[in-house]
Amino acid sequence: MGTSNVRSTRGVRLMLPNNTAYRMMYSALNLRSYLEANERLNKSYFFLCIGFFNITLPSYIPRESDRTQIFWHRARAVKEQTAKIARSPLLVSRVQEMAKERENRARMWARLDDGVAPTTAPSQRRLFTDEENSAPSVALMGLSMLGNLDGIYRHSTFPAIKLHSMTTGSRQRKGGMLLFSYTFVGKLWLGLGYDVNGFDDAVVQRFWRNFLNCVDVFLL
Amino acid sequence: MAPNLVPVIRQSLPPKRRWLKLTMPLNIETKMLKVSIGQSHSGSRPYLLIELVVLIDNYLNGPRTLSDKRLSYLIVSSTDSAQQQGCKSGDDVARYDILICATHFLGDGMALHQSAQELLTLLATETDESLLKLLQVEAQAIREKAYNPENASLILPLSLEERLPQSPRGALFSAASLVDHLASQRRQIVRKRILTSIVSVELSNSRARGDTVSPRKRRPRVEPLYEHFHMTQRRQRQSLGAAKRTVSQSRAQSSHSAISPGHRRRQRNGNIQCAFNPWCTVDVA
Repeated sequence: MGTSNVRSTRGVRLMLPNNTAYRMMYSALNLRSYLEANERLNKSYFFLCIGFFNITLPSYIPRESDRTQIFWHRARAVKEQTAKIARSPLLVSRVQEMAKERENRARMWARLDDGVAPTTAPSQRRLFTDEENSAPSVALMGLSMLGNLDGIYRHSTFPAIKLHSMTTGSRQRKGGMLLFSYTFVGKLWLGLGYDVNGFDDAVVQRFWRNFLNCVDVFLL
Repeated sequence: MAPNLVPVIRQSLPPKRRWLKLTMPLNIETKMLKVSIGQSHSGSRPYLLIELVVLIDNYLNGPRTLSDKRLSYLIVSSTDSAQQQGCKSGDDVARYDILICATHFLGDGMALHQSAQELLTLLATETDESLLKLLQVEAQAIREKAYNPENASLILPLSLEERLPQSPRGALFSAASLVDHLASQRRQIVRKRILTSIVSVELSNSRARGDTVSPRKRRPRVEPLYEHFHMTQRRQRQSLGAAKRTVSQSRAQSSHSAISPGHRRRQRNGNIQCAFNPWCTVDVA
């Protein structure tokens, strides 16, 4: 394995093997179960109701390890990380705090966009006085794990219509990459949408090939 | 009373889309045709003739079509000929593609899928007359509510944060939740720094391979990966190799060149293909 230059928190260059770093992926967090009823919704379900959370995994495989064991170990780690976030009694207060930060950022950006001097300063909230206050903003890719869509598409309610496939996706920012997974009409669907101008395509292709190999080897 | 549809093909498209393919039998088809036949911006081309793959590529990579002035739209598309849609050829199934596009700030994935479910249910269960009646009743109710000055404050929906349960008021709770929030963010900051470095390393690698333009400086172009393989039983596992995987490239290729002739078509080797149906499917029977 080669090495890569990694800038440490103090600006010193460290030499780390390429594969010892962690990988972070972000995903949306469905908050609908926390919502309180309100007449202003006009009985509509059509609104945006997501927070987000990150999944972090090591990017290396321990030497002489059983890959099946490692795969399922990592799978359990994802499940644990997700459950820990989703079931935290502090989930709502974290969403509220994050909303305050994002509100501040949005207002500043809007003023910047309008060419007006911002009236608010960047958030100065920090845990330790000698620490930079920067929330994570870079993840390798997004995960869209929609679960079983056959729970939403109740096919028996429209027997005259036979759905056979469904895809979902969005425009991407520069360097955007989004991995999708859901069940639709009894099938598991996996997909990857990414900015072809933002990555070395050979890397993406290799990732996708290995991803599908993992499905073959571990899931089928 | 034909629905006055937004001419959707006008430019092309943006932030969030869902589309699903469906097949439907004769009794619904006439209703769908009313919805789907329309004129494009240029005034001559019916929506029906525009291939969905083109729509999707435009949506993902063309100029934005959603904005503050058009928050969402619906496309119903079919490549079947009019005769087939009339189902006179003996085949009693007509094929349609439905594309639902909405700005992300309007709703999330659950909202879109739920509305698709509702749309399909309405199409399958209601007659034209009952649909129109339903629409009138709902529109009337909304209009009455909106025009009543007493309801002025009720028109705009609440934000997500306003709808979440209120936190206990008090300095202690407020301080504790702030500390918890910052701590939970901080746990990821170190990782973030490492990750930032990885991304830049990978990008510089790609530049070293002959890409003269920095990939990050080019306009993003979404190219979903598409892989299809069917597994109905566990015992097929061993045979699920490259040969089992099927890809449909021709359709994507032809439409690709039709929409962006100048764009380089990547040649894929082996199983992996780029196309607009970005999916690998696995039967989980």
